[in-house]
Amino acid sequence: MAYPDDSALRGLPREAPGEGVLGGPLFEREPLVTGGKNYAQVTQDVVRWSERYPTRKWWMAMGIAGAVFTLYLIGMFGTTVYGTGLLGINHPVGWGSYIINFVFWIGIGHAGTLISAILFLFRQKWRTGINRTAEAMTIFAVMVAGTFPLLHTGRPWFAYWLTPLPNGRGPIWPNFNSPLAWDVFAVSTYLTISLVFWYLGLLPDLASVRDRARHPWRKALYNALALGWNGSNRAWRHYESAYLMLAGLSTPLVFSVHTIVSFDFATAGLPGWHATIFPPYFVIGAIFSGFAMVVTLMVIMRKVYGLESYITLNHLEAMNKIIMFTGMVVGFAYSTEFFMAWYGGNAYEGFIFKNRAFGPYWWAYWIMFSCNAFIPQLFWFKRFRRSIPVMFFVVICVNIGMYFERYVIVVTTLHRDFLPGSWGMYSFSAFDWMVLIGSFGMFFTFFLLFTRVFPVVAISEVKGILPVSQGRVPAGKAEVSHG
Amino acid sequence: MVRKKSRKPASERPASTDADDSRVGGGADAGGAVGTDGGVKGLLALYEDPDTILHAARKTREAGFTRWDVFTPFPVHGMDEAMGLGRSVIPWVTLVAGLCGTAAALFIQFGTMVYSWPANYGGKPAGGWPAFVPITFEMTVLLAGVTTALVALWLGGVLRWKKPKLDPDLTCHRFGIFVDATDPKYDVQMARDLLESTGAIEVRLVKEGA
Repeated sequence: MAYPDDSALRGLPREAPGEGVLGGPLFEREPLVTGGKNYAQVTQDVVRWSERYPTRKWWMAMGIAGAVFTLYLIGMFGTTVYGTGLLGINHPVGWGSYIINFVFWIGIGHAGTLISAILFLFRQKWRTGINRTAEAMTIFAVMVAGTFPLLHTGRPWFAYWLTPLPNGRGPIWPNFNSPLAWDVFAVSTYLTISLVFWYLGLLPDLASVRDRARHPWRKALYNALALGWNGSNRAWRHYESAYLMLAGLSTPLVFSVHTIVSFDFATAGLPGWHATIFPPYFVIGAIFSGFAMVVTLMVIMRKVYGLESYITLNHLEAMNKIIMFTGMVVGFAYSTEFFMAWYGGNAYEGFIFKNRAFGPYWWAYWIMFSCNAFIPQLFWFKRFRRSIPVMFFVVICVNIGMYFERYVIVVTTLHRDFLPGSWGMYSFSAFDWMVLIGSFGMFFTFFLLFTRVFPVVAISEVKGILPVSQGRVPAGKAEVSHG
Repeated sequence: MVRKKSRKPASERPASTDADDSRVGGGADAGGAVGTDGGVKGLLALYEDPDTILHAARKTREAGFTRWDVFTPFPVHGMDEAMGLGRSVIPWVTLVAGLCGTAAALFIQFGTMVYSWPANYGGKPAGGWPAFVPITFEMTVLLAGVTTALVALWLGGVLRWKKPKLDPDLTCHRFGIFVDATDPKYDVQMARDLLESTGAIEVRLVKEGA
């Protein structure tokens, strides 16, 4: 059976009656790549976008992203030079949009490594279509996230004090009992390892680009980027081993990073934060929001770059299933928090949760709850899992909902202290808005540049899962592609 | 890595223990070891699918060649066995580098907070090890990951400026076997016959500087 495009895919194994070994039905999986591609076509389809002058659409998107990025730079400049007083934070809400943005972006940064490492260990071959872009997204999201704690300190030029450098101030060392010091190590390790993993995966593809290049500058650039990769099996041997090792290392790393981020809250003795549920609750929320962002980007990218053969509806459906599952876990965590607030019998804890859902920030709470726990339930229906407009609506809701989750956690716990005398309200200043909106500009600027320079699909990995590579179809007859 | 005598089979030696220029296909920079055939680097056979080259690689090894290599656009399953290459040493590198990371993290944390300047943070003991677990884990992963990647590329000969680039299609849709002219068993006609018999679509001589 031929699979020319998405319309031939059903998301179910194909039943061939009477073709089984013993005369029964044979169930065959659908192919991961449609359109009967051969090796040369895979390279061509992915690389051609970086070989032509950018389209008008790209320039328009880049113009908007760049303009929004400028907002971020202005906001950053303002709060660095004039101080964090420009932001909405004030007594009693001393953690505001910078912490919210940090947790939001670092959460988004969790999908990439989950897809590239955990799905790799589970031998989920569909990851090959999406892992490159998801990893790039991770790196840019973590870069965006990393700027916020630095700005939050108010004096980012002293950021190096966070590292245990020998110094003449005593020496005074960072307090390693503090989760804020753990964060420094967690986020920088995560960024470094994600970069290494991403670059290692890129090497063979950069070599493909290099070997096609004609323009001398282009040749020189990709020659440098691809190092000395030439596809030698003596290199592949160590490469594959290293890839497996990195996947094994990254898997606990993904969990550790958001666990440590949640410790920033959980080790504080405040009602609403001081909960043992926080690490798993944060990690699953991060995966949830990260997958939502991956689907958001993929839905657009596969269309604009004509990659529907590689990022098929089956891929999107698989991701939507993960979104639905993690969404339910997140909803369960919200409910568990409420249950524990009641069951624990602590008056302050009980008050904080009542205040979350029915206090002055009820709207934020219910945006969070409905976007994260209710709306993804649409994915119970296969029709909705495979409908581009529906999934786009859902993932946008999830992106919004997960922002509000962090907003709710940070603001509602702080704004009503133990004593009613120290109650207050929190609202954004113009600078909070600029930096929040601008952070999307930074993210998309980097992402758009990435889609121009690097192969957005892992070419060499996709070639390995083509039907021709699986020995099912003789080479040269790739049009007949079974899954 | 220090160059040492290897007790492994010769076919494995170039990849796992020899990190210098004597690698297969080193050609021009292989210490002046030029082929006998008027600047010929070796013989390249091109194939069009992974199954054929897997079979061909097995044949090439059985013919007794030691200085040869396979070039593929993606890793071909079973090729290490076909070429007679053993398991990669990378997992050991990861383990050792990870343990170094663990040690470094513990050294920094205990060293600063217990020995260099013990400070009283909320009455907590200075050397409370549970608080050191997160950073210890992160540094283990950091050191292990970065070292693994670098060593893997270095052992694979990727971290070199000059690499033989035999055919641009080898990173796209062709699979190649290259037999180096410096191989002790190298004989143009014999090698050509062997490679052609394994289903190569093209067999050609690779000249110096190509």
